[in-house]
Amino acid sequence: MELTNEITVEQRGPVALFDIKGDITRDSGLPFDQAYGDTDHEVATKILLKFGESTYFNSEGLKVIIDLLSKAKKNNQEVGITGLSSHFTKIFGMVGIAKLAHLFDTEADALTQWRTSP
Amino acid sequence: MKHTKDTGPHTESSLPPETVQAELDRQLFHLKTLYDVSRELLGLAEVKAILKNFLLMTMGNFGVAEGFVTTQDILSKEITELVAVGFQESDQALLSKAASRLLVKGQPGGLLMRDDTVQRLEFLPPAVVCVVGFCVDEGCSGFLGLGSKIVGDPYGAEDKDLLETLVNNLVVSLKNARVSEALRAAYEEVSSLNKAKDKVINHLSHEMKTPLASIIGSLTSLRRRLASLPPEDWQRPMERAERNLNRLLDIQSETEDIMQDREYKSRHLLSTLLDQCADELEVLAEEQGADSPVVERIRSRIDEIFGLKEAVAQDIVLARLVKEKIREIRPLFSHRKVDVIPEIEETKAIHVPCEPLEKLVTGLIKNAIENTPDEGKVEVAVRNRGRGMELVVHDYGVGIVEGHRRRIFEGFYPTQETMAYSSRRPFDFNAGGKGADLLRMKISSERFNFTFDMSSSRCRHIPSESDVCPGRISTCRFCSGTEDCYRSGGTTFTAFFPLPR
Repeated sequence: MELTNEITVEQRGPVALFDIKGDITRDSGLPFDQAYGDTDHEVATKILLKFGESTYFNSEGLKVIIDLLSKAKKNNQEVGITGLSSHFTKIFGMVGIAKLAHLFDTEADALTQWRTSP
Repeated sequence: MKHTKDTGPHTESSLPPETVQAELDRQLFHLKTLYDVSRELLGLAEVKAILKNFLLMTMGNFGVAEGFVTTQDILSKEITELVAVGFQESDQALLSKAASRLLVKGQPGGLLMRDDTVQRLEFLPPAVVCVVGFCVDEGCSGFLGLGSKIVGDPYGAEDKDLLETLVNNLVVSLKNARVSEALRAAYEEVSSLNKAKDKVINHLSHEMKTPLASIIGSLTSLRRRLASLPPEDWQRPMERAERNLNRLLDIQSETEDIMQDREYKSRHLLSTLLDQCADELEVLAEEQGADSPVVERIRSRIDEIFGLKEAVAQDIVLARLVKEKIREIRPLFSHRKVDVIPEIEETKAIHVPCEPLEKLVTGLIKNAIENTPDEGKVEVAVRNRGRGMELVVHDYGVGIVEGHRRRIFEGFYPTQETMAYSSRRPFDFNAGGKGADLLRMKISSERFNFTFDMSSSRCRHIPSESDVCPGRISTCRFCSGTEDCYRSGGTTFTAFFPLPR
């Protein structure tokens, strides 16, 4: 299991794209906080979390994602998630994350749907 | 025969595959959760870290935004740890008060509170909808509280099963952490006490030096002034005082060596004890009004038996001495049919007094012969070994009963039944002795810097001290030949003499 995360943030119009490398564990809290803190919340009304297909989420990692969703909700931001393996797509569903964030198959799907949505 | 309607791959009693799949997924998820929690907690030793990680993992798995976990001391009811995540500040204060009103006693493990009970606990923040109490040990208990799931679903039966299992994992980790903390605290206390002890010893050792030096000076001066008086009036107490002063100096010196981490030897333990006993006897005799010649005789006798007199060391070739002694004493056991077999290597000289060494060699051979039946054998070896040489006297005799082996060097300890004991001629089988010889040899080893050890195996056919060897192998009902006897028991005494540096 990789221990550190590298998160690059790219602004694409109203979408802040978080490109996330590494497994999501208890050590991911700080990188996510920093990345979210660097985002201009006035501009970024949508946040897309892009993971690698081999990304592993342990139980604390799920909590980190939940915390991010809570913050985004407070700031009236929509959150989308892409790149998950089928296994973690199921787990996100069980835990309830899938009800608070949109799960997209690809980055392109997310950007297209958000561009065309009202 | 009744036929059931065939509805293809599903019968009426089977679940749809989607349901089966969902159930498998759920169970897999639960297993993953248990794996994650167990793995994370395994590496943690501090209670606070364990609680925090456990809480975050549990909240992540159930999709919960608020949660708390707390531990408390059962006796004092005081909260020892409280970790809360996702609560407002006002709710945090409420939690601290709430936790102290809840107390779990009893068997370790989780105790899930019923929903109606949780609702009645008004002192809990309203966000908390699920509470599990747990008991770590007789001194510690705690609670886990969780808010609603973010999806809004209630906690089902499977969730509760998983929660109780997770809490059991938590309890195990907390137990281990508490034991580690207790060990750490005990170690720190012992270290601190050890340091204090070292300080005390150092102080005592240091402070003893000056008074001892002063006493030595005073005694020297006193001796000079008393020289003109008859010695019988003052010499004995003076010598006693000087001997004890030297003992104190030895103790002070040894203590200094210990404190400076130098290697030291507990020197002359037996001979020191003997010295002290002799002094005590002298004092007692004087107090009881015994005259000087009586006291003198007591002292001389003890010195004679145990060789406490100063002896002059000289260079002695052990191999030569052993050969001479065997030749010398052969006539003394000519009435016995015991084969004494020397195996003597040439050796260098060692620096020890002659008389104690001669007594050692003679005594060991005599002891061996007296414990070996006729037609048996005794081996006497002198060998070079490492930076020294050893004298090994091995008899194929009756051996020493296990219970006696530890005490064989205590002196005056007969190794046979007292009723059977009698003083026969020297070198007779079972001649026995008062046992002082071995004690004397042990004292000599201390004084003259050689080691002296014994190993023995009692003849298996006469295991107890009341069992008697017939004294001749051919009359023994257990032995069909001498080899049987050689294999059945024996004793080895080994004296090792290091070469002078």
